[in-house]
Amino acid sequence: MSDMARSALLTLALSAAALLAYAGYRAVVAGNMPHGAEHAGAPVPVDTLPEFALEDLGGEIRSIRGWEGDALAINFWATWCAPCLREIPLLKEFQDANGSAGVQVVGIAVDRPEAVRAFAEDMGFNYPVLVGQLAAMEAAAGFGLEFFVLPFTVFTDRRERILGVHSGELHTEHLDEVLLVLNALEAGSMDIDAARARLSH
Amino acid sequence: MTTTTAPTTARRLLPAALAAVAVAAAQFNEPLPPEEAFPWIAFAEAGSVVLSFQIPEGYYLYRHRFGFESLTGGVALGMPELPEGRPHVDEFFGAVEIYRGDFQIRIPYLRSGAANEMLVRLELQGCADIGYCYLPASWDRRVRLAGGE
Repeated sequence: MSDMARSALLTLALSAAALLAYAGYRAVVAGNMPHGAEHAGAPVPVDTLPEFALEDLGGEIRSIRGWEGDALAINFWATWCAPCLREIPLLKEFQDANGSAGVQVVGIAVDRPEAVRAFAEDMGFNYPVLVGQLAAMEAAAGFGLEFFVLPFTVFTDRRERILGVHSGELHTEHLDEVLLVLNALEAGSMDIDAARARLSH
Repeated sequence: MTTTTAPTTARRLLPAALAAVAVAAAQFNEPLPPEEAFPWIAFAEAGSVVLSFQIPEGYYLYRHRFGFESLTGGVALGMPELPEGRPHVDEFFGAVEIYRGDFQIRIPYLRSGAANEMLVRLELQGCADIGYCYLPASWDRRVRLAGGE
């Protein structure tokens, strides 16, 4: 076999192995729920809303448990992150359309308060924005997530149960899916495990 | 006739394997860990520290977000030589330059002591095309300096 053919075969084998290994890894961790001790040392996602409090843009300390009875979309973002800024208008629309039905968006800016306040003046948020640097990172860590990218959004139901986490920019279809799951949970046509499975892909 | 040693083969095949992981991660909309999204090595060459990057497809670094620091007394870093980046028009931040793929940054160093290695701190920040950005990262790496044992 020529060197070129051997290299091509090895490349193919390595690529296939990488894809399989990644798919396997994803299958284990994608459920958003703890899967036991196979990832000892790695953060373990929690299944209920953790307690934390951060300042809002007015300087008032707000607990994340302050929206009791609402389903939450907790959106972690920063002013230096273009995809984060791109999805804010969508989150505002989502809040407008569903706020009266007990769905609440909460922004958490992992950023300098002064940068966020300046940005907020132009953006005209219609949902509360909490802000902090280390404190906001600790808040994110409270969800048991490996946290190194923004944006990401944690969705809960009305009973503070975490339904899923979306890493990266949100699009309409993601939020439609969340609404569908929330409505199905409300109607009793879907249980919590099915809801989490549905939002884990 | 040419022969291919195992390390050479591995070096040649590594980008393909990394690319496969990046493609797999993108399919799941799953972010690669920062060290896989922005892999780099550092070495000394002709009076400079060279930082060599091999960024997988779909990921990029902002040129203006780089920072460099020597954490070793008696070894100072000079002005970094950053290669020209690719123009990137960001809808929020305007015209910026970014790096994709393979590139190197050279930073001349000046030794005033007997140090034969240095600890270099690199700060960077980048994003992925599929819609997320990495937190600003700060990484330290040891570099053996020329003439050191």
